[in-house]
Amino acid sequence: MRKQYYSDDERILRVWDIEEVKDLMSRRQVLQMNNQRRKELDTLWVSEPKYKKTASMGSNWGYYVGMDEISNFYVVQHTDRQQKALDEKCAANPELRNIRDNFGYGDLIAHHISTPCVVLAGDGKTAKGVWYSLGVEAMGRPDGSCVAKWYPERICADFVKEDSGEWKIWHLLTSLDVEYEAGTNLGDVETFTGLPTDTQKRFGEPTLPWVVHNPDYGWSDGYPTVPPTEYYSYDPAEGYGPEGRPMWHKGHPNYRKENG
Amino acid sequence: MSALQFNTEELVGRFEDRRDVKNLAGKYVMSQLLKKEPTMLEDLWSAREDVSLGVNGGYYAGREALKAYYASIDAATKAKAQVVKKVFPEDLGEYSDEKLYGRGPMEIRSLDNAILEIAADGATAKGFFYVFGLVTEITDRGPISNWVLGSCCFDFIREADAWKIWHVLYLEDVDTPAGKKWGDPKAIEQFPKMPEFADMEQVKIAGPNQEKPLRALYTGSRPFTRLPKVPEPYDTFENTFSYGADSEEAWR
Repeated sequence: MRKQYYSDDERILRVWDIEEVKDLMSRRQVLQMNNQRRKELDTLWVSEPKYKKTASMGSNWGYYVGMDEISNFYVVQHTDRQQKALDEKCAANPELRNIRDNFGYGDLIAHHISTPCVVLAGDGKTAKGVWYSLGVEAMGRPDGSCVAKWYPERICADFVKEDSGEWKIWHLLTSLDVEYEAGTNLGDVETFTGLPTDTQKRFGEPTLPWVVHNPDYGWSDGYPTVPPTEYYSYDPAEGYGPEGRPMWHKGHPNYRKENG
Repeated sequence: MSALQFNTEELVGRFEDRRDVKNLAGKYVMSQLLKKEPTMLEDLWSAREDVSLGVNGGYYAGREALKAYYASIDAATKAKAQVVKKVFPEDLGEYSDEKLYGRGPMEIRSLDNAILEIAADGATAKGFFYVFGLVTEITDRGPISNWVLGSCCFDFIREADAWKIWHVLYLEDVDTPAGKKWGDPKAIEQFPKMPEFADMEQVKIAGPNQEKPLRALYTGSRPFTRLPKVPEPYDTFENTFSYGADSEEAWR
């Protein structure tokens, strides 16, 4: 929903806002790929207290809510995992120095995004976007070999223009459709193993441990507004944060009672 | 660059600039797919002498180096077509050289994750893209399709009111046959050499005239390697970094 009439000044600023949001999301992906997670949170995510409290980072298994929780999961726990992985690699390779600069040694992260669809609120204060990422990660092993996997995933986000006039990420939801090793036939990948995937294990214990995206049966859900439709002002019940999830949950054809 | 520092007319122009440089980057990779190397330098690149193309092994620096590079691809394209014609005489035997041109290779490189900046003075622009590709080549082991992951960065320059490519920095992380384990530099050896494609052993692409290791391909023992620097808002080219052969700032 938009206003009936925008002046030329307003129209070009709205065009520009969408360009800025697309750039912002691409920059976010680059910082993630570069393992610059602290910088990502500090520079691209919401910084004003009123938004920090409700910021969220979600995936198939729930949401981390609030910037402190997000930071603890996305940066602190990730850093701990990197240190542990480096300890193992150093133990196997005495020439490798156990220093911070060697975090991610032997790793490759590629969660590049394509297919942008960005909608700016009629009031111009928020925006919503969805992208697809044919993600790839390769993790070096202590013996110098690697495990390379595909991570095809949809990424949805709510953005807000803060008082500074800068667009920031407010809610981010990564819906992983499948995780499987490169060089294997996707049709051969077992779906119902009953075991958590590596990504699920890495997602840890979110603030809200809900089933948010269930890709069983190779089916992709219709989370509230994917792709986003026109709207005038932000409504949490239609957002990509946890408050938007019940709307998806109740009417979802892939809903299973055991998921609560 | 805050939109608020420009008036409405300027913002419309800057939006058109973003669209134009993005299209130009698209034409660059599409030209590779359509084997338009014989005309790419004239059609897409700046007329300046200090144009450059950076790849993992160094830079093609200067117009003459790029001319030689594209000429060697043109020669290779012709040679590949002849080999394919020899292998498939029933399908292609009647084709003229002109009609045959481009048969064999298929270089698909999609440009994702765009980050674009137009200089405040409007004279230059910069672009970063993540490359997700499937590149099929005719080799002495027959046709081989590789997954390609990397980045493609551009400096653009406005010339005679049209955007042109000034510098390209194209760096790959993965270039591995589809269906094989990534990070294995010897994966190609799992494909035996094929006698009917033996002519391809003689076909070589001209190497960079400034050899320099800009980036190593990914292996499980490569130190973590960040992507090249992405564009930041800037006022004029002198006040930002370059993707050209004159600077190491973009990939160091």
